[in-house]
Amino acid sequence: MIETNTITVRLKEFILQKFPLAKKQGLKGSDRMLDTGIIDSLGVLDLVGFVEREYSIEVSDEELTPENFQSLDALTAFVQTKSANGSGPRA
Amino acid sequence: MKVKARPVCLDSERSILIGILERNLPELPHARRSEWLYDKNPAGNAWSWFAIEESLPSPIGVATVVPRFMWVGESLKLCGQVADFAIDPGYRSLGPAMLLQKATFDPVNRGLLAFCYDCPPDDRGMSTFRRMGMEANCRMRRFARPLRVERRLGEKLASKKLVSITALFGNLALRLLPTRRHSASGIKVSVHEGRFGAEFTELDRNVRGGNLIRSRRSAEDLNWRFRDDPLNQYQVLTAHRGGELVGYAVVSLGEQDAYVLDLFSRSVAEVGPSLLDAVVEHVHDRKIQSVHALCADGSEMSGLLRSVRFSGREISARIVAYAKVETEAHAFLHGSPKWSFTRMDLMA
Repeated sequence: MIETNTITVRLKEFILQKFPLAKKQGLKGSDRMLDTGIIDSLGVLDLVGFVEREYSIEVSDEELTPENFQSLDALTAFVQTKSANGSGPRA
Repeated sequence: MKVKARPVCLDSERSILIGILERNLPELPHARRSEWLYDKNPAGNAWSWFAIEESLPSPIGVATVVPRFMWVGESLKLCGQVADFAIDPGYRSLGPAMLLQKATFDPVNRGLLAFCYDCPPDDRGMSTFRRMGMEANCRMRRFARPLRVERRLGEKLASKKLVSITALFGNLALRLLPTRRHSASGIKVSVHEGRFGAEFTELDRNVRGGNLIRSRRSAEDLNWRFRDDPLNQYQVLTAHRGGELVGYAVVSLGEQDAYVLDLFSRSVAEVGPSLLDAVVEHVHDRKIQSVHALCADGSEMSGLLRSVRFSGREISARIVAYAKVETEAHAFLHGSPKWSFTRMDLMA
């Protein structure tokens, strides 16, 4: 299983690089990214593409919920669970 | 948390639907347009779906399909336009939007509509379609023709007096720019007051065929769209030749801008220039700064607009259409049809 901290760092790096509002405001683990407009539906699509590539997991439509994408902490937990259930990260 | 989509009962749940629209799309007076849009449409009543989160008492999103009669090549088909798509901010995680977008395909999958289309204005609106592997069928480009320069000058010059003086010369220059006058032989353009009559239905019947997709424009459709709209008023210019209606343009006037919402003719290349000349003349004395029009990129209309000094601007919308596989409509959509769409086709 990949360490939580490693996932968080990598996801945060991607979010800060990709979404201008996150870069401008900074991003804490519990910040609500959907409510505050840090990411929108297109941003979620980008995030999904990233985690699918980075962690070799497949995200279904049913998993595109606020619970999984609302915050960095939630996304980290989601990726960790998916990774543990499925295949590991790419070498 | 489990989000699902379910049909809306438009008789008993209308106020809930309007509530979602009012809090997410506050720029429109939804209650005032609801009956007209959902119940009075000559193509039939709208269908709507709620996105519901099981633990919450109220829905968190809504989507609607408004039926439209369309000429698809030689055939008249009942199709649909996706409208009033809204999701509460905390639920914009794509999943609820995917559920609603797929729900709008339901009347198509059940064979009630030949196809439905959505008009995302930007990339963000394309996210559900990209997730489903769908791309835009056509892109709608805005065209603009400046008529006056006050607004542009006002953005650059601080002094109002200087703006006024400079504008005198600028406006004159725009007026005097060499333009080919388009008085096609025997065509008489005039303002059409009152309701649309049988001659419009006749014109609609006579213009079809080939590889074209366009809205039906019967008198009934046009009266609903342009005369019964509870929010807006429109001006109509008609072109007649030998007493026969050969084309028309519908214009909406804002404070500083005019919008050509529709231009329809038996021969766009022949009648269109005269109509657009007349539109420019019609709005010129109303201090209108620019005239705008919208049409499918690369369409006959886009060539016409360029020929009468309109310049192409940004892509304002994409048309994404869904038809059930192995149907006639699906084959037609995938045969590179010509989308004869104007701003009217994007209006909900």
